[in-house]
Amino acid sequence: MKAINEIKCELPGISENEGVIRGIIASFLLQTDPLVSELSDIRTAVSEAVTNCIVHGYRNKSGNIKISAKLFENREIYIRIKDSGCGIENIEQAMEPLFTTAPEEERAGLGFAVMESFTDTLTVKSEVGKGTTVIMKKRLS
Amino acid sequence: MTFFSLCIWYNTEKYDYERKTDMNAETILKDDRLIISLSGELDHHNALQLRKYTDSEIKKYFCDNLELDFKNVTFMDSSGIGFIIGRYKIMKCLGGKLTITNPKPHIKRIFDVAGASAFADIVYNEENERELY
Repeated sequence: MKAINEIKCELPGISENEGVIRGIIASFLLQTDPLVSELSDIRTAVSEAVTNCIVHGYRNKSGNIKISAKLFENREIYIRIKDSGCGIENIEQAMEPLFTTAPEEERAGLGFAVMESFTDTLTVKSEVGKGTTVIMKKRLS
Repeated sequence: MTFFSLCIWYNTEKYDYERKTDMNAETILKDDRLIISLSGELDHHNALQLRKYTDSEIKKYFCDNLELDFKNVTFMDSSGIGFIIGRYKIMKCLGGKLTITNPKPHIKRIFDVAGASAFADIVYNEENERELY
């Protein structure tokens, strides 16, 4: 299916940009006139993915976060968030609720659980040492 | 440390906190409750500073009941849950209780995913829900 609109951007992986990226995605979505609940679901899911990049991916090094979002004719929204950080060794384990590798930073281990419940489909691809890509899709009403 | 230097220490901490985050927090002491009312977006970036602020308030007042007022929190993700679990652990050590009041409907959904009612009393404001649905 053809995308009717598209956005791509790249920002440094610093915690100040969590709010910035949420804002960018929210303004991109406004053209679809979404429900308040849909908008806050997507904002939350995006925030989780970006926080993961910063807290885990770029824990020992710095780098950029690549964001790309597409809007399709059937009101489906596709969001890809990519980092080139440390990667995930065991994706299945990482996606388990309450599993976290950073308890000292008071991480609840719910990032993927929240992303899963707030979007329609969630795909996670990762290679150790190369980075992680999170793809989320959601159909708007 | 004299009272005077304590005041200076408190003020510089507060200044520091306000400069680094766009979240605001206010402390109210009412009966035997320490109420911290939050406003803004509670994400990973803001949680770091908020943690410092809340912990210093808990240390200062040694109250049994900590109440976090979410009325003006416009956004929260799982970093907020981490923040709440951390404060719950502290209150449990002190033999106290944690209450969360007035979360908005989309924040309530995150509490549901996290099963937050297991570690905190959540008091919903019915007016809030009627407003949005």
